[in-house]
Amino acid sequence: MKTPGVLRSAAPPEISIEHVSMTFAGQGRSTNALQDVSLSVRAGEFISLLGPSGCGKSTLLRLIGDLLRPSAGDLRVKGKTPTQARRDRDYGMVFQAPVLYEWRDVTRNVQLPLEIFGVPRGERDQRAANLLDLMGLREFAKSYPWQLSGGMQQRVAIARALSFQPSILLMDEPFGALDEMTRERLNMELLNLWRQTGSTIIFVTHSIPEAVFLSTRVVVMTPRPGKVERVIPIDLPQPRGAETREQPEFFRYLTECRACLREEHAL
Amino acid sequence: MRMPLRTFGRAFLPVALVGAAIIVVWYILAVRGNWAQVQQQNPTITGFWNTARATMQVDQPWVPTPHQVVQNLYQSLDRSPNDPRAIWVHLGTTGAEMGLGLLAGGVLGLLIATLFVHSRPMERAFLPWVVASQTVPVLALAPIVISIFGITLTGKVVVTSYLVFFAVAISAIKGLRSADPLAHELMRSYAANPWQIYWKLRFPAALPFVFTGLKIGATAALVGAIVAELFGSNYGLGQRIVFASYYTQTIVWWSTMLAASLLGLAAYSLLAGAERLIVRARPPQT
Repeated sequence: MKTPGVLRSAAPPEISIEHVSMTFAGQGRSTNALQDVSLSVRAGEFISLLGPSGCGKSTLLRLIGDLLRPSAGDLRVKGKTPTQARRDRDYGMVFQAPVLYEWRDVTRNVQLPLEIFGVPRGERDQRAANLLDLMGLREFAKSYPWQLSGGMQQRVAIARALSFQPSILLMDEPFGALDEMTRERLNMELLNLWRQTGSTIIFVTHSIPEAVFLSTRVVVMTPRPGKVERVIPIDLPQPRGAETREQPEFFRYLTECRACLREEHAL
Repeated sequence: MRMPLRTFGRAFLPVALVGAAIIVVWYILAVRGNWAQVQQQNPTITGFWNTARATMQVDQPWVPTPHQVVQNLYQSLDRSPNDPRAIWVHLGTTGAEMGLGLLAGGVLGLLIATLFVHSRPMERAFLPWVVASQTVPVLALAPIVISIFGITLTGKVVVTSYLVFFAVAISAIKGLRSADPLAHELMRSYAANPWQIYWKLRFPAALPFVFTGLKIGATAALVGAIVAELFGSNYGLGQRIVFASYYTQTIVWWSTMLAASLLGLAAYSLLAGAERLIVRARPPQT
């Protein structure tokens, strides 16, 4: 129930991060990984966390996904604690490494979360088959992970994350280990998936073109201590495609992000 | 499955060469070992070649030759089970002691490893005892176990499983912890329960390690079974050794040794085959 008289935006934020800090206790000294980060994400947004290594972008992602607990501040997902959101299976996670289970073939890897959620066999098979079609993996359904290229493996990892239709995708440099050509192709595929599923995506990357191309907003982060330097809305027209990368605005956004990162480094 | 001649040669030739070398050395040792015995028993035999030939035909030689041992083993195949020189009944007995020990020890080792990886305090309290248990030599342990359980199968299985459980527990502890931390985080993101994490992640990741433990355990179990049989048994390869040594039937003694090593090889191959069946679809080992 909303309290009358209090002005609120029409939709509550999907993810709300308020004054979150994260300190890792070490031997004798502690590391300040994140300091006073605030961010509000609406449902259906594509947010990139962009910055050099050590800026806390992965830490922020892990805090949202409840793989870590913040030292201070408040984090809400759909108005719930991250732990509750995780238990409600709101998150699909994709890491830089595909983390496929080597003893399972592609189909059974994609079905792993469904097995855990107790989805019946028939529906599991149906959903896995649909996803493999969607990701162009149909002929590899019975292949084992080691028989696939790195790009293929990462596609399987994405299919696995999508299998249970989570409303939020948390992606930690998912294409960081891939070559430039594969990465650009997977970027396109990811945008298509995002349009089709309407899910909210938080995407960690250190590639400026990748962040600008994919995102509705780029969160530029800077290290020591990790904090949000600036949030840059990317108003490039949707749907985006290969031609987006040729537009002058695209280059303007690249320059803006780069300048933002450089400013901090000049200090 | 078709096997190209070259692959077959590459796999078989090195083994055959080493085998041939062993047989040559064995014959040299046999001739040398029985020389004095022949000269003493048959002073009429003179000359190098005559003496050498005679060293290979002694009834109770110090060192039996390969062909004597193989011949004895072959002849033992169809002796009646009541004949102490029969081989199948002894192979069967020792094999059963090994097999049951592998089963019981494997299950016990896996249970202990599972307990340890889920509870650090348990591991800290009990792991030193598990390690200490193996510092007791099986030669000292076996007669004690036999005196408790009598001349029974149970006593032998206690000894063999005692040796197997350690090998399996130590490798399974490592195996159950071998999964990628990110694979565990993935499970966490699915809010999987410990039971699911165990059966869908920890256990399959541990399987290759468990098989390594079983293979090491199998050879230990063979030695354990034979040693236990030495201290009291009606059948078994150990019993055959007792018989051979009592009647100084050296050829029987050596053929028992050969049978034991063949049994060990068979157990190992069986486990390796099972591993290949169960742990399929792994990347080719480098």
